Amino acid sequence: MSTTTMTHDEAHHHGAPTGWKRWLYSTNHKDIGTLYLLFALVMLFLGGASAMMIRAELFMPGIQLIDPDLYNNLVTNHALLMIFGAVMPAAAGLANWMIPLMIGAPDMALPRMNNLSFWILPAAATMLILSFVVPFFPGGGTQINTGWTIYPPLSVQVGMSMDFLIFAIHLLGVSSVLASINIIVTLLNMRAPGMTLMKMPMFCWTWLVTAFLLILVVPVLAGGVTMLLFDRHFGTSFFDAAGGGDPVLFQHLFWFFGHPEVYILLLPSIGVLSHVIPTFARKPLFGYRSMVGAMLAVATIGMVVWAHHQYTIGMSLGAVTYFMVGTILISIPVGLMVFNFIATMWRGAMTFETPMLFAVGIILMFTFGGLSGVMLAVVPADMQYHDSMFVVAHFHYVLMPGAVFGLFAGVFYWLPKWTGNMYDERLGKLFFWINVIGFNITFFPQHFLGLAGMPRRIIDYNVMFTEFNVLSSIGAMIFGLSHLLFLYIVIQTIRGGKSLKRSGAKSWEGAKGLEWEVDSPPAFHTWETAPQIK
Amino acid sequence: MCFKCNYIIKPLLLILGMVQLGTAHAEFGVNFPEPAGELAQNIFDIHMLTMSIATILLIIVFAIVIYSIYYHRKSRGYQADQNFHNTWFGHWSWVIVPVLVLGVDFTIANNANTVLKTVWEVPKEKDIMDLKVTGHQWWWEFDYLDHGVKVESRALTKEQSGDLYLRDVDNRLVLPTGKKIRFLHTSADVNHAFWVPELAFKKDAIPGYVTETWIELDREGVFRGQCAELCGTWHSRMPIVVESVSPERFAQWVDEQNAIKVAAAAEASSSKTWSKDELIAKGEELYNTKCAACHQITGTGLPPAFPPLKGSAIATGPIAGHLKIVLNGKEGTAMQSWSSLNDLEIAAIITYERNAWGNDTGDVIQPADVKSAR
Amino acid sequence: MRIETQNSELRRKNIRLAWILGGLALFFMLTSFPFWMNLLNVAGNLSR
Repeated sequence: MSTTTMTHDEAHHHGAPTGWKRWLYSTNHKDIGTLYLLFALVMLFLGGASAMMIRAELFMPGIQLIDPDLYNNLVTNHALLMIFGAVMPAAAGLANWMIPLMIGAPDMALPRMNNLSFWILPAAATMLILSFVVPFFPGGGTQINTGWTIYPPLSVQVGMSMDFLIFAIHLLGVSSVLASINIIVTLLNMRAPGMTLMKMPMFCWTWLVTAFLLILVVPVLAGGVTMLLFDRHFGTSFFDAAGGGDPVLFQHLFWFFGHPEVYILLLPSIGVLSHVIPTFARKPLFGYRSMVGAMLAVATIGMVVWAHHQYTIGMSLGAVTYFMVGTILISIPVGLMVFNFIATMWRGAMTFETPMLFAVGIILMFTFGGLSGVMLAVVPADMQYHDSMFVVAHFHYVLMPGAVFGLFAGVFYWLPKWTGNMYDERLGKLFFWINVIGFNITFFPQHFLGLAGMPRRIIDYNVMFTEFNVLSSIGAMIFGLSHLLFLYIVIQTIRGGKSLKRSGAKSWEGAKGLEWEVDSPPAFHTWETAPQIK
Repeated sequence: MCFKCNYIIKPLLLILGMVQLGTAHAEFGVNFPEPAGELAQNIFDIHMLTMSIATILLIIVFAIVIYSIYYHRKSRGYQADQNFHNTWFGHWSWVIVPVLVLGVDFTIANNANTVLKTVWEVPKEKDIMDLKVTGHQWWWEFDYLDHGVKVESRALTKEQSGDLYLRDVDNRLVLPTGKKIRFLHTSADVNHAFWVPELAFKKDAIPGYVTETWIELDREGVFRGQCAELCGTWHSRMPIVVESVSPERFAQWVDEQNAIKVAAAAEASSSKTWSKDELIAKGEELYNTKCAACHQITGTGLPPAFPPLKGSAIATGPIAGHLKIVLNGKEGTAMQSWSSLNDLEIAAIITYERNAWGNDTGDVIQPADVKSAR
Repeated sequence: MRIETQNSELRRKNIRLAWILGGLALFFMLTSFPFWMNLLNVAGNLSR
């Protein structure tokens, strides 16, 4: 598209606008991607700080540092900040940066909406932080002591913080629905000529499925919290048994959103792995078609098994049997994905740079978390595990490797592309080892705590649980602080300097795909002439 | 950095550490406690079965991955097999793998289903013993529907319970062995969950709902559990202690409880006029068990969730307003209705609240006053 | 501030697809739970 029509203030074609306007008014997918990633990094540290406060309080039996409502508020905030603040925006940031580069599009399909969907996020984060801050002021009401599931009737007892939280959830929902619409339109309409859907890079496929999931489930959560708001202030009784409502209805709505949400967090990282593993094994992804099929199957089955989060509410035998069998069946597509990754590594010529280290770590630890997930799917056994620390251990083993480590792998994999500088490989590996060992020390003992009978979300525990809690808290401090090293590596790579190698267009020996054909860092506008795919 | 060593050593260290901890300190558990009934035993068995299958699969996956990262490395000069995905294995793995996984799934689901049927449906027997369990913020109420006995069970303080703090209560739930017992779970305020691992599985206590579980104990003993569904500020202080006793001992216990109940009812309904000191002494004891969890022994509360009573407008204002809030509760807050207490108990508590902590109103409320306020 | 990278036909196509997806989201919000049914009930109770 050499005869690009330009408006008058675009005198310098390839240069970026300068100053704050570049960011606030940005419609450039690379800049917005960067904004998303930076936002996610800030939220990662806020969420991590709340996690470390939780573990510091649980270090010893007794209530030493914070009072119970503040503790429960930190539990709530940790979940919301990590899920809505860190993982989803980080995945959206990767999508913004990489999808147009990968499919040979000049930008996202709806650039101005792209700007809107990012700039809603800081407003939502402010709401979320306000919900945490207002109880410290006189007349601010009580803290949100409900956990991120905000089940009524407990959430009806909470003060005005809950209203801030409800609006924060609304804003986050709007933001992710808009971003999803943008990604779907980009993927369906903006692919380079010759790139059929089945030739699309795997990361694009994972995001296509993720975006559809988001469009289908986030509005349901928005509806659920709206009803909660009505119950709290306008005298309705959707969830109030005394007024003829049904407190369990909220749980169904929440988990109808909440379970697909797990796959929303997981799938973009699966997409990252589908690029990282072939690159460092130097052979093509094993089973591209079965990967796509498995992903579609996960998304479909994942939409209809939500009630395995609520086996204990007293459903009929038929209902629980259905949810149990459905949940166990998810192991088939997920098992196929893990198998494909291992088969990609098999007979490859592997090297182990930081992204690959994370990839191998993910395969091992995610398999572990997935298998404890099968244990949890079994209803009679789940009635024992339910709401115990075993569940906490399980979902951290699934989400930390499945989502967060996948994003770390993606950041290390594409950081040379974004900045033009290779990160310090020695520091990257050091970060991996501290991070993974800290993670395992933190969460492995929690399995035993749960089996021994420690419920989750308690601030104080009996002395019989002390040993494993001490171990877990020490691990959490190592794990939490290791992210400062991550921050250092990222800042160092962005700033560049003599100590770091420069990256060519193709940062990795085995890398394949359109994104490695543009410069590192890419020009402000790329693929203005669409490449032809054979 | 030596990846291969670390990948082998790390899991080994974890397992070694686990075994060592498990043997050296037998007092803390790494698995569920020994079940106290056939039902719980079945659940325990299905737990062990799935855990064994999961462990075996995990070992297989780890072995394959470790083999691969050891042999298929560029540094060993291994050449990537660019056509691996085009072999017959590459073409048919998408069928083979799901079939294998499906086989494992069926093994698990089939075994689980057998157990599920027995635990889920409460046996339809006439002489099953009904026990209504009501969760309150933050104590348990056990209602022996067939015996007319009611037990209120609250956590003991650290001084009273020592090493059993948060696992010990004032009044235990006493149950007979060798009898089928049906639990009917419900809640008076927010969601709770009754969980004692030795008995059976948990179910949520949801206001407006009645959920059922059933058990049959086959050994005597004391079993401890906790509330498992987040229920607000003192979720951590809702322990459950079950005392499993022989049927003879249970019958004896029921008689004792009934005798106490009759005596208390007689005391409350007598038209005796109580002196201020008697009411305050009685009220202090009741206040410290029933009210102090929120409003604190010192009467200072935990604002903003739990307002102080010391110098409060209600506790020093008109008696009628004070009676009303205790009898009816306050909507939208954790303050529930206490109308299930008898007239004497409420009279004593209010008298105490209006005279303690410098609330020196001098008021004396008689059971008759409470009766007329109801 | 941005370069016109899309011709008018692609632009129309993109915006049309975006509206369809937005409609889908709205549809899911309004139908996947008995929100309106309950709201009508409440309105009925109030008027009675």
